[in-house]
Amino acid sequence: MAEFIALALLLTGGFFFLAGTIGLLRLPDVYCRLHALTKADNLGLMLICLGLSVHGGSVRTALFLLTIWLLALMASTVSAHLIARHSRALQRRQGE
Amino acid sequence: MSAGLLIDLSLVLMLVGLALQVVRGHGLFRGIVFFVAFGLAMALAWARLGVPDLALADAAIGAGVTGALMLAAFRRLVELDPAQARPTVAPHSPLALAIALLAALLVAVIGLTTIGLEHDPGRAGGQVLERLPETGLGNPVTGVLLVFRGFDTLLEMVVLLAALLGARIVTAGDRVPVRAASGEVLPLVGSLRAIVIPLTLLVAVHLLIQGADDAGGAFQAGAVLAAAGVLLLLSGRLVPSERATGMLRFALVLGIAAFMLMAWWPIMQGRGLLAPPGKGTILAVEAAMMLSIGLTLTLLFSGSAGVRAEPS
Repeated sequence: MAEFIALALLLTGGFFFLAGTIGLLRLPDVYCRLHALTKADNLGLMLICLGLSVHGGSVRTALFLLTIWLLALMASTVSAHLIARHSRALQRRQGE
Repeated sequence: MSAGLLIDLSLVLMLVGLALQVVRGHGLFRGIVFFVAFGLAMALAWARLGVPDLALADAAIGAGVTGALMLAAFRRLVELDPAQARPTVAPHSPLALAIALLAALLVAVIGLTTIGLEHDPGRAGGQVLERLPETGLGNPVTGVLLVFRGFDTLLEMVVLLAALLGARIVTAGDRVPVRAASGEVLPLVGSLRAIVIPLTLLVAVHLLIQGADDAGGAFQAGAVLAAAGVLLLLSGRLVPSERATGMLRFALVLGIAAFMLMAWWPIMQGRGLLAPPGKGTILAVEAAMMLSIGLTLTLLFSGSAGVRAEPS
C-alpha cells in the first residue's frame, strides 16, 4: 500500500515538473515562464519529497527531505523575485 | 533491461548532449549555463557509480564555484568588450568529426583496458585500505589526500594560491573598477541570507568532520564556504576592497602553513617527513585548509585584493 502511495506521489510530482518545463519552453514572456517554473519547484518537488519520504519510511529521511524542500522553496522564491524585478527594470529602461 | 541500466543510459545521453551544447556555441553565456548543468549531471553520474566524494566535489566545485567564477569572468569580459555578450555561432570545422571519433576511440580503448584488468591487492588501492587504520581515518579518500599522497595535496593548495595571485596580476592591469553590488536594498534577499548563511557554515563544518570517516573533506567544505562568500558578495554584505588586511593574508596562507607544519613536525620528533599524524591533527589541518580554500575562491570571485564587511 505504502509503495502505491509513494508511486502515485512521485508520478504526480513528475507531472508537475514536466508541465513546468513545457511552460518554461513554450510560454511567451519572463513572467509567465517564472509562473510555470515556480509551480514545478514548489509542488513538483514537494510531491517528490513526500513520495520519497513514504518510500523511505523513516522520520530521519523525511526530515532531511523536508529541509531540502524548504530550502529549494526559499531559493526559488527569492530568485524568481529577483529575475522578475530585473526584467521589469529592463523594460522600464527600454520604455524611456 | 533493468531500471538501473535505463537510468545510467539516460545519464550518459544527457552528459554527452550537455557536453555538446557547452562547446557548440550560441554565445558564452549559454555555454556557461550548460557547463553548470553538465557539472550537476556529472555529480549524479558519480553518485550512481558509488563515489560520493567525487559527486560532492563535482557538485560543489565543478558546478557551483566554477560556474560562479565563469559568470564573474563573463561579466568582466562584457564590461571590457560589450561585443562578447552577443550570441555567436562556433565556426564549423571539417576536422571536428574526425577528432571526436578519435577521442571516442581513445576513451573506448582506455575503458576496455580498465575493465580487462585483473584485481591485484598489491596495487596502491589495496595497500591504502590495508594501512588505513594507522591513520585513524575511516575514509580512504581523505587518507590518500591528507596522508598517503599528502605531498600532492600540499602542492594543490599552493596551486590554488598561485591561481589567485595570477588572477590578481592579470586583472590589476585593466582599468575597469571592481563593481560593488548595487546599493539598492532588496527586501527578500536579506531574509534569505539570514537563513542560508548559518546553514551553509553548518554544512561546511559538517562536510569537514564527516570527511574523516565518510564522504566529504576540506575541498568540498571549502567550496561550500566559498558559496557563502559569493552570496555575501552578491548581496552586498561583503564589499571588494583594493587592500588586503594582514588578517586576510594570514587566512589565505593558513592552509599551506598548517599543512607544512604537519609535514615538518614528525621530522622534529625524529620520524620521517609527512609521517602519519593522528586524526585530530588531520582534522585541524583540514579546518585550516577549508578556511584558506573558501577565502581564495571568494577572492577569485570578487576579483579584488581583499574584501571587507559592510554593515547593513
